[in-house]
Amino acid sequence: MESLLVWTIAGVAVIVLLGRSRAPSSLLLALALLASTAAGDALWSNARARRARSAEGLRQSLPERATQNGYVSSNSCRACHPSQYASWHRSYHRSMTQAARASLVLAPFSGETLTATDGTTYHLRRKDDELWADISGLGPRRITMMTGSHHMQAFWIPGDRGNEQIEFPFTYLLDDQRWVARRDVFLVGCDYTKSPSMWNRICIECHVTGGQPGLDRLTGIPESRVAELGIACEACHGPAAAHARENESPFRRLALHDRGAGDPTIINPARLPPKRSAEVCGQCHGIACPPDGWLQTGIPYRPGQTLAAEKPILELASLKRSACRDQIAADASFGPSRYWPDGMVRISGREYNGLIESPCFKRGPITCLSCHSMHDSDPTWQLSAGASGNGACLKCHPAIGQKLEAHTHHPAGSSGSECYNCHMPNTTYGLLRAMRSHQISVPRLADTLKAGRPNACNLCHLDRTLAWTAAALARWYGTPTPSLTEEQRTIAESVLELARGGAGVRAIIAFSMGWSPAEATSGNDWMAPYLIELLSDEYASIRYIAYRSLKRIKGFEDFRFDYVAPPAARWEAQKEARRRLALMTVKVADRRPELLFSPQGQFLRDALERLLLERREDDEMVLAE
Amino acid sequence: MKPDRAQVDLPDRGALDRRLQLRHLRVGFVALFLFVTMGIALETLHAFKLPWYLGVATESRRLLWTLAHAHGTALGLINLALAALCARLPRRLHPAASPSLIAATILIPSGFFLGGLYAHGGDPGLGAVLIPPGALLLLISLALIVRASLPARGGKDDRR
Repeated sequence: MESLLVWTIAGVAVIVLLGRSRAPSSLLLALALLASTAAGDALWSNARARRARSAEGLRQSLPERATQNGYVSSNSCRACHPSQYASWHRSYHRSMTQAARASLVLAPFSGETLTATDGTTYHLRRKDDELWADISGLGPRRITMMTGSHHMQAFWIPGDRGNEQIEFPFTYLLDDQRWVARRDVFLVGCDYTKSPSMWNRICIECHVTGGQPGLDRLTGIPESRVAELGIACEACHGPAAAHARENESPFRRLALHDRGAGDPTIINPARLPPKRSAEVCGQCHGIACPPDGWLQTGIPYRPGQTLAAEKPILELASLKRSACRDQIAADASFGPSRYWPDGMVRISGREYNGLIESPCFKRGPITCLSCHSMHDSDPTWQLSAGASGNGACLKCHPAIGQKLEAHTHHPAGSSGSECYNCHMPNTTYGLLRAMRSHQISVPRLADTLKAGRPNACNLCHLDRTLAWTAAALARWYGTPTPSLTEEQRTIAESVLELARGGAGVRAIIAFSMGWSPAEATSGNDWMAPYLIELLSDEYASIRYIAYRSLKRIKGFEDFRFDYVAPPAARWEAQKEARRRLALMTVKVADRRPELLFSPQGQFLRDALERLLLERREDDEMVLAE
Repeated sequence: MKPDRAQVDLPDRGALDRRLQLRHLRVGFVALFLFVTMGIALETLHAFKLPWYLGVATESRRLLWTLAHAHGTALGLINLALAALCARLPRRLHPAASPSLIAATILIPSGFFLGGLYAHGGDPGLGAVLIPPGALLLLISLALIVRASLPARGGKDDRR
C-alpha cells in the first residue's frame, strides 16, 4: 500500500511535469523523478526488510509486552508530560534494562575476544544494529538485552527454554572502559562459583515495569511478560491506562488544571503520605520477601498500596518469622550477606531498609523524596535541588543549623560539619565502592565494637585510634568510654580493620582511603603500604578498590595494575609498587607508631603481617548487592 | 523571409500569463485549503492526546506531519505569489518553471505525509523518497522564476 501511494504521487507529479508540453527539459525532469523514486523504493524496501528481520528476532527473544494490567508504557505519558518524560529519560532508571542495540550499547563490540576461566572464547561484534557474540563451541549468539548504563553494563543472551535470558559471563566497566568477568564486579571470594543467573527469575522483579516472570510451576520454563523494559513511569505512578483514557478529553484536563488538585486516576508519590510515598521506592530498594506465586504472576504491589501487605520488608531480627523463613534457613549466608550483625543493611540498593529504621522516619515525616527526586535532580545520585549539602537535614533541624559548630565540633563548611558524613557514613557496599548508609544514625563506637562496622568518625580520621575517637566523643557529647584492647588504643582503627576485618570491611576502608574528605583529614602518604598490601587481597573487588585509591597517592598516579590479571602478574605489579614506595619519603607528620611507621619513616611491615596472621577473618563472604 | 522562431512557437505572453495565474491560483488555494485543514487536524490530535500521534514511538510521525503541514502551506503561498506576480515578470517564464513548482507542491508535502504515515521507529517511511526530487524541482522552478525576474535581454521587456 505504501509503495502504491508513493508511486501514485510520483505519477501525478510526472503528469504535471509533462503536461501538454513535451519540452525536453520537462521530459528530463520527469525521468529523473521516476529514476529517483525507483532507486529510493529499492533501497528503502531492502533496508526495511533487514530492520524487520532484526526486530522480529529481538521480539521473539525478549519478554512479551504485557498490557492487560492497565499499563500503557512511557510511550503514552510523554504526550502530556514532556518535561517529566525528559527528566526520567535522562535517569539511569530508564536504562536499567534495554533491548540490546548497537546504537545504544556503551561497550565496544568491535571485534574484541574475551576468554572465560574455562577457556571458552567470546568474539564480540556488531552487525547493523545488532550485537553478537561468537562463542567457541556454541556458535554465534545474539545479545538481546542489556542492564545498566551508569557504572557498568551487563548483557543477556537467550537461553533454550521459553524466553529465558541468561547472564552473559562478562560485564563492561564504564569508568575503566574494559571487560571483566561477571563475578569480578561483585564482592565474592575466589572460591565462589555459581551458574549463570536467569534474568527471568531475578532481575525481572525490579529492573522492568510490571514484570511477570511467567515461570511454569512444573518445568520452570519462563514465558515472561513486561509492561516495559527499564524502570519507567508506571513503576512509581502505577498503571496509567485509566488516567490516559480519562485525560484524552481536553476539558477534563483544563478542569483539573484549574482545580490544582491531584488527579485521582493516577498515583503521585509526592502527594502520598510520607510512609506510603517511601514504599513506592521501597518496593525495589528494600530486602523483601516476595509473595508466593510471584514467579508466575509477578509482584502484586502497586504504588499507593501498602507494601507490607504485598511484599513484606525483611529485617534481620524478623528473618526467622518471615514467610520466606524456609528459603532463608536453607541459605546460611542470607543474613551476613545483607546485614551487619546489629541488623543495619550493608549492601547498596536496599536503602529503604535503612530509612525505615531511622528515627527521622519512625518519628518524623522523612521520605525518600525529602532528599531525592526523579524529575528535578542530577541523574548521578538523584539528589533534589538543595539536598546535596546540609539543606536536606536542616529543613527539619533548623536549630542545629544555627549553632552548627557547637553541634559538630568541626569548623562550619568542613567535611566534619556535613550531616551526611557523621549520620550517613559510607558503610554500605555495592558497585565496586562504598556508599552511604541510609539508616540515619548517631556515630558510636558500638558500631565498631559490637557490629564490626567502621564508625563514622574513623572513616574520615583513618589515621586515628579508637581510643582517640572515644576520647573525642566523651569530651564533646559525654559518651561513656568503652573498654578497649591494647591494639585499639595504640593502632589506628583503619589499620586494624584492614588487617582483621572481613572482606566487606576491607572494601569500605580501601574505598575511604581514596575518599577526598578522608584524604584531606588524614593525609594519604601513609596509606600507600596498606593499599599495596591489598593489591594481593583474595577478593578481586577489594583489589580493584585498593588500586583506585592507590592511584590517588602522589607517585602512583601512573602505576598500572590489572586487578583480574593472573596472580603472577599481579604479584609482579605489587613488587613494582613496593619498589616505588621504597624510593618515597613519608612526611614527618605521618611517622606515627599507630600507623605502623618507625620514627625514621620506615613502614613496619612485620607488624602488619603479625596482625594479618593473628586476626584476619578469613570467612568466605558474598555481599548480595 | 523566414519568420522568427519565437514568433512561430511561443504563444502570446498575455494569454500565457493568464493561464499561469489561473493554474497557480487553483493550486495555491487547494494547497492552502488542504494543509491548513491538516494543521487543524494535527492540533485536534494534540487536544485529544492520541498516542498514535503523540507517543514516543511515533515521534518521527509527529515531526514529519508537522513538516508536511508547514511545507504544504508555504508552497501554497509560493503558488499564490507566482499567480499574483507572473504577469509582472520582465521576462517570459521558462516552460518548465510552472510544472516544476506544481510538482514540488505535490511531492514535498506528500513525501513528508507518507513518510510519517508509515514511519518505522526513528526512520520515515518510503514516502520520504519523494522529498529530494520535490526539493530539486522546487529549486529549479525558483531558479527559473529568478531568471524571469531579471531585466530582459537588451532592455526589451516582453510584458504585455
